[in-house]
Amino acid sequence: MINLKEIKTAAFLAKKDTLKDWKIFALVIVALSFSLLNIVFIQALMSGLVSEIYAQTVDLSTGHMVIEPDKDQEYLDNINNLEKKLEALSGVAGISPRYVDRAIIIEKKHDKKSSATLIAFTPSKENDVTKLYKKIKSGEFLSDGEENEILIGKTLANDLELAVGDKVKMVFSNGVSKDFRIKGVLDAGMEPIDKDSIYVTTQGYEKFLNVHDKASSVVIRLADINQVENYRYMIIPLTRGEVYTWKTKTEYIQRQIESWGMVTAMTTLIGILTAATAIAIIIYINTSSKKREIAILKAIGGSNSFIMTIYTIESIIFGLLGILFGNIVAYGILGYMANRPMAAREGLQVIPVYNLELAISASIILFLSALTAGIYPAWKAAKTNITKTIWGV
Amino acid sequence: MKNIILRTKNLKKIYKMGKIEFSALNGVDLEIEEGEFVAIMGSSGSGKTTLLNMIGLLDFQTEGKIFLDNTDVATMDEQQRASYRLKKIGFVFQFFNLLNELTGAENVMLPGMIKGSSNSREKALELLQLVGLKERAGHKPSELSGGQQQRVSIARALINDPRLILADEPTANLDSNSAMQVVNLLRKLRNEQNQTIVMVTHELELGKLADRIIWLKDGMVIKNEIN
Repeated sequence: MINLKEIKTAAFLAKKDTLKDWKIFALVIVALSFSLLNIVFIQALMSGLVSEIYAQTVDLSTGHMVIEPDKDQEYLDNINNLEKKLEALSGVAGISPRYVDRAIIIEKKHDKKSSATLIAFTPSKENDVTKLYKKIKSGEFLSDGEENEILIGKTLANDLELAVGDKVKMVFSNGVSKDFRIKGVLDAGMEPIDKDSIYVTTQGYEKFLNVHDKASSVVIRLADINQVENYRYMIIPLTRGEVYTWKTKTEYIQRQIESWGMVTAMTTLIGILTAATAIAIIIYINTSSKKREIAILKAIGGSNSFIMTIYTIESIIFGLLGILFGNIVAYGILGYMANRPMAAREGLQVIPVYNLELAISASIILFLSALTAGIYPAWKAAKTNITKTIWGV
Repeated sequence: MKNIILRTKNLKKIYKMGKIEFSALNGVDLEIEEGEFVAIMGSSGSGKTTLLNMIGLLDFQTEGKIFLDNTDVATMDEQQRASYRLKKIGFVFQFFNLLNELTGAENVMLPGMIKGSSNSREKALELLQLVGLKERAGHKPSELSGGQQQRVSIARALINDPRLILADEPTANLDSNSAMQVVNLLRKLRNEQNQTIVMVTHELELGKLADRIIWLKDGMVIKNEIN
């Protein structure tokens, strides 16, 4: 059994041996650090992307909660009354009733036309719930009471060669048609908005469709997003419609993300295995090249356990420094990127999200890889016949 | 009557290479007294180094007994042998075998540190003074000449006050001047510290500086020659 003094001596030798060759030392540390960085960074990017997609959906489409009519109903009725009830709930930060319909938009000069989703809201109310007003690419956002103005998604505008100030004709679902002026072009970074959406005010929509005090949906923002389930139960008795949280409204995204999750998990696993193998090979070669030193130590009286202790300590030094350095670099890069988001695509700015749990798991796995990779060749070398190695070397 | 420090009885070593067996030692019987400086000589393949490996507990014999200080060391397991080597035997190698990353003093200290001695550094410096290298204590092996490295190696062999020093052709890689310095140092240890030394050498001139030459041929002792 190895004693404390032997451990001290082993640590002394491990330190000397580790620092003997700076190039190897740096190589192992950098390899370990980059392996860790690779795993942590890819996962952080994925988490950031997912968070951003959720945030975009909440901020530009669903709010925190959505009330919709029963499946057999076209509209929610008595919206003014429902709004009052909802306003009475403390913690409700914004309520925006919307009409959602289909319409045909016609560019008049070249008679280009396209079918699109038509969404009608009261801008001042909508601004309390979503951040659509921040996504104006050109022109201005709608104001309350404007009946002849529309907003249009940028892709749809491009397809129809439309710009701010252009006049278009819209044909509503009831067959009524009317001319509008494009007041603003939206660049939301979300395909359903940019490619397929036109926005008008509720006042204009109600006038042309001849509907009043109704809505296709009501979107709600809460002061605290984490309270959505509690509020859902509070709101259900206030309406005959269906009450959804942003989570249920984004289930399609979640399903998509779950399929990405499989890919990400596989990528992470392969990343960890590749890193572990690379680390193992580097440390294995490094330790294997120490046969002569091991034989000398054995010859002068070092026991197998003493020799194993030296290389275990070396592996611990490599492992700890590599992981520490890797985490510092990862944290530094992620910190830097927090203020300088990466554009995954136009309109979608991703801030990587540091996953502490994953960083800890990857650190442990890489540390154990470094340890195993160092101990195995040392164990093998410690078992070799001294005389073969030492005489005549 | 002098104390017998090392005794071998019918010591045999057979190496197996596949189906071929090669007998390196064929029943060596020898006795070495405390404080004796013995040279082992013989032609290449006579079994000199194999014998040194056996009595230095670096390799296991196929048959026979080895007594060091009247202890039957041949039956010891690897762990016990390592401990015995550490405390009772000092090695001097042909190629010095110092650790390159350590200074001269650290190389000398090393067996003492492994043993757990608290005064290894002081003792290492004393031994470096003894071998005439105190001023080179902080130099690494690459900064020392061959002769100096071998003297550091001798100081290392002495750090744990061994009962026996085993030197395998310690002068083979040295010029004649350095070789003579090394052998004279071994003689000094024998004369002043009553150190028992077993040295394998090819050079008769150096062998004659020992108290006795044991001649080996075909793995057997063929002659004991008192100088």
